[in-house]
Order: sequence, then structure tokens, then C-alpha cells
Amino acid sequence: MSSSFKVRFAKYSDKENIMSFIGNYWAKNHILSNDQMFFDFQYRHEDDLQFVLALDTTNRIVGVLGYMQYDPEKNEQDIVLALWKVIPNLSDPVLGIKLIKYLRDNIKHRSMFCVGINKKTIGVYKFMGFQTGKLVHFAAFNTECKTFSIAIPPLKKKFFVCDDSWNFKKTKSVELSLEKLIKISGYKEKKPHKSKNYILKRYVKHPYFFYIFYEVYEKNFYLGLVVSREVQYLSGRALRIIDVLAENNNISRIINEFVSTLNKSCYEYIDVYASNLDMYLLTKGNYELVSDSQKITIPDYFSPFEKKNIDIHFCTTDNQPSCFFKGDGDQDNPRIRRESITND
Amino acid sequence: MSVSTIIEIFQDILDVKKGTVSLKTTSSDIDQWDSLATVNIIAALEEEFGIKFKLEDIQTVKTVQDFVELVQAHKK
Repeated sequence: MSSSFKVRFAKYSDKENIMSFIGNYWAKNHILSNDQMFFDFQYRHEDDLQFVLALDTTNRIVGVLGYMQYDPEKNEQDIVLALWKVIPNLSDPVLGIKLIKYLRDNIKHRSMFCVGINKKTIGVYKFMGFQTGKLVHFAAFNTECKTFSIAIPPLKKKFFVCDDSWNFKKTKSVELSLEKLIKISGYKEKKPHKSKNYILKRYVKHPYFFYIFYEVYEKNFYLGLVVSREVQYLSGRALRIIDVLAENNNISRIINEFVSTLNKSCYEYIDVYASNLDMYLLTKGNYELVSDSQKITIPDYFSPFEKKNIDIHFCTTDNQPSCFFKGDGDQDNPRIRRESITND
Repeated sequence: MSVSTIIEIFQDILDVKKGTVSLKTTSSDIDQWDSLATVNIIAALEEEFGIKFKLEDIQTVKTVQDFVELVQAHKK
């Protein structure tokens, strides 16, 4: 039986129709439905758009799957899935699944994953052979902060124990730092692996979010970069670790030592969402576990602000544990268009 | 294998009244029948009949009848 729907990669000329589809069927006023510049930033790759489309016999878009390529030059690249939507009441009950299958069958890749999947869709991903899990949320609280506007901290705050041999240098020379990073052999093997160009585009050229970069040194030996972003609510400020660009086996130690930047800062806390971190090292060290906590609250949504803990689920085709962060995929992005966004 | 059991599974998962689902029913007839519901239906059929579907098996299913035939093929 042949399908009455056609599945194909998007062309740049499909842009307006995809944006309308997002506004009509995903979320009215979503930034990707009305901000052409942001849409291009996120999904344009040369003369193509990184979307798989399902079209009916009249060429009307009935389903979309957005994706991003972390290193399009390579066949062994890692691909992250993003916006995935098929309209209801179609005569094909598995069209959504076919969009992912089309991408898997038609683009060379090493692994495919998605950060921020809807909990209800976990069964679909599992059926397609993905592993699923949840990013673990940690936070370290500023012991000198007397009033918390954003977070609900634990009753007793930890005093940090930091190793003096570590140094975190704020930098704006991200490109130079990345040159050093890509020479580290362990970084080349890292999964998922983001290319220098992807990192520059994603974090340095982001049209709305301003990321703060710290070079990491242990005993003057360069280990990589921490990508962070400041968030604000009322009079409170906090620093979020959005990504750590380093060898996977150094990441938990980097995060644990990074709390030294909290000293004498204006931040209430530092938080991080990630998978495959060393939970023992972090909770015996400087961090509190936020995931599943009834006593600690660290918000994830800032526009509008929601004072509650949020779970972030992920799926991956890789059987080996991977280190995913909130900065992976389309997670750390504004949802609504504004003239100037410093927070979300 | 009972066709009525399969229809009951569809009705339970799609959360529709008895008699709403027939062998001719397609996903365009019921709002809730999407990819997610399909996977839940598949999981329920696998458990009920002790069979295992592959991704390729469900590429062409459209009607409840298609699912009945799929179950029959796997039971053989």
C-alpha cells in the first residue's frame, strides 16, 4: 500500500510554509513562527533548511521534524533532533515515526539524539530503538547571599571546598580557545562532538542570548571552556552552566571547581543540567541535587518566570553514555520574540 | 486470536466509546490516534499476543484491519 504522503528534506523556499505551520500547529506566537532571522539562525544550513517535511497530495505541509548537524563536514557526525510535529487526523497513524526514520535513513551520522523530549513520547523513541533518560539537575548556592529571589535554597548551605590549582579565566577570545580545544585528543573522541563552527554559531553568534565563556586551567594546563549564561528575576541573578566543552572525563571535576567563580559574585547560585555526570563527586563536593528534590527549587523558565523544578528528558541512539547539556539542541533558546532578550 | 480483543485494545488506548472502532477505522477518524497512540497500541498488542513488532512492520498500517492482519502474520 503506498502512502498518500510524501516525505522529503526541506528547501529554503519552504521557509514561509514551515513558519506558518509552526504558528498554526505548534504554538501561536512561537519565535520560530514570526522571527525570520532567528529561524535562519537555528535551521538554515547553506541553501537548505534542516527540516524533514511530510506533505499531502496538495503539497500542504502536514508534519515537520527539525534537526541540527553538529559537524556537517563529517559523515560520522552527531545529529540532534528538535521541533517534531504532525497534525492530527491524518490517514497515516505513523507519519511522525516516518519523519525520524527518513532522517535516519537519508543522512550519514554516528548518533542521533534529542534533549528536551516530551515525557509522553518516550515510548515512541524507545520503539524506534533510542535509549532514553533524564538530565540531572545540580546547583551550588552562594553562602554569602542573604536573600534568594529566584531559588529556594536548602536550609543549610554548603561551604565550598575548592582546589587552588584550578583557574577559570573569563574570555571573549572564544575562537582562539576553541583552536586549543580541538587539538585535545579526548575532545575529538567526545560524544556528542560539536565542531568549532557549530560552537561559534551556537554560542557566540546567538542573536538574543549572551553567553559568558570561561577558559578552564588545572595547574596551568588548559582543559576546555565553560559556557554560561546569566539569568535574572526581580533583584536576583544566577549563573547557569549551559555547556562544558572539554573531555567527558574532566567535566564533573570542572563543574565542581567552577563554584569558585561564585565567591564575591552577585549570583544566588550556579546550576547545571547534564547527563552522565559523576553524581557522587558533585554531591559530596560543592553541589546539591535538585532533581526530585522537595526542598530545593531552581527554576528553568524565566519568561514567563515559573518558580518550579523542571525535568528535561532526552533520547539517544548511542548505547554508550553521552554527556548532554541544556545547551544541546534547541533547549536554551527564547520561545517568544522580543526586541532584546537577555533572559529566558 | 480474537478480533474483538484487538478492537477493545484500540478503544481503551484511544479512549473512545464502545462501538466507535471498527475494522475499517483509520487514524483520520479519531483525533487521538497519532504516532504515540500507535506505539501504545503496538505495545498492548505485543503484550496481549506475545509477539514482537519491528519498525518496518508498521510502515504501511492504516486501518484497524491492517493491525489485525499484522497480528495474524506474527502469530503464524
